[in-house]
Amino acid sequence: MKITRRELLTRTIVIVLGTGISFKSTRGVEEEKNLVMCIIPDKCIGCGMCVKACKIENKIPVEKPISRTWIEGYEIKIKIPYSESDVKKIVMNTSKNPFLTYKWGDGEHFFVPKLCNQCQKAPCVRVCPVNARFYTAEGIVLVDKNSCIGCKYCVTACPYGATYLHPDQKVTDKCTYCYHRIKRGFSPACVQACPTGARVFGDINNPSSEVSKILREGSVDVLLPEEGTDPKTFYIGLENKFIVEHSIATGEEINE
Amino acid sequence: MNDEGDIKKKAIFFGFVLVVFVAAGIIFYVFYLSPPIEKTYVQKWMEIEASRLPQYGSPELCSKCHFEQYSLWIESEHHSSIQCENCHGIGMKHIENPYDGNYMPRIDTSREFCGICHESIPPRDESSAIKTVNLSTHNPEYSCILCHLPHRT
Repeated sequence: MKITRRELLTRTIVIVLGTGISFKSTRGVEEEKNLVMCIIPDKCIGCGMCVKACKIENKIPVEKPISRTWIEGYEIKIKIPYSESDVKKIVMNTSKNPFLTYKWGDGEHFFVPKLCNQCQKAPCVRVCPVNARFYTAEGIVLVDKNSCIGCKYCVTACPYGATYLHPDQKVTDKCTYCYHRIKRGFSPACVQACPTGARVFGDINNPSSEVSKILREGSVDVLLPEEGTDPKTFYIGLENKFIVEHSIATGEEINE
Repeated sequence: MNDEGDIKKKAIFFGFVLVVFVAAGIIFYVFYLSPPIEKTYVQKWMEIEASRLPQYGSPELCSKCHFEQYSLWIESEHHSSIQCENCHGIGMKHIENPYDGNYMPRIDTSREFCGICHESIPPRDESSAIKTVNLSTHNPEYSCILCHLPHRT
């Protein structure tokens, strides 16, 4: 077999460039995920399994009233004129369940599970003086505990009250969507523990995932949209409750 | 004239070969020989965070050994939405050391434990997503699992 000089040259060039490009492309490609959580307060029964599971999974002192996720129980008396004493909020953030012992009165009752909203424009990331907070490729905000100096700027900056000073480690701590679990292919501890499916977790870039379907179909809210934090924790069916609250606050008539 | 043309051609050829070899050398260096770029604090922390061992496993892991119980539970009408470790306790250490008695999951069969979800309180009764009972009046002396089998309800 005879090869001309020109052929040899072109072939070597093609081979060299081809290998280079193929190496480059295999290195650069990584699945882009955008992980979000969707919370359906209507399904929450206030059992506190998520709080317990989160605290055990992340080794947060169980009996101390700090938690990465917590449940707020509301009792709202629908009355005009509105006063602040008509809204009662009970918080569960230890293993003890206060909802079972609380003397519930008349009015509207519901539970709202809360956690770090994993904002895409997070105030805590912006204010951190040592750049200990950062975004991962999945859009999760993490705290580098080796760099954190525990100054608590982020605690005051967070409008959701989702970050706190860890009592033992003396650095700030918050929900990571169980980063160590999702990297192993498990779902976050609170999502797995929820007995009624009030928490749904998944990749919003994948149109066939459960969370994408729920977000397409339901009416979606975020907490405190006026803060401009662009959260990634969505709430489904919250508007009915907030219309009630809003109309109480503004003194409008409520049509039941 | 002919000689000069030959030399020119040869010069161009060797020039080409040189360029190709230099390019190959650079690509080889970049992908194989160059020292790894030192990790930033952020990358280091992401590795530390991802390397933490979970405490909770998952029902799929439990099913690898306890398949009979798993198949009963997964076909149950209501409790199939509750994961194993909610009632049986954390199991990741038991999954890793199945025969170590220290890590055996313990199950809480007390009335209070069932009451965490099934105690009757106003917010639950309004939504009626689950069945609720008043624990203080509903057969107070008996254990729940005497009548209600958790894996079959």
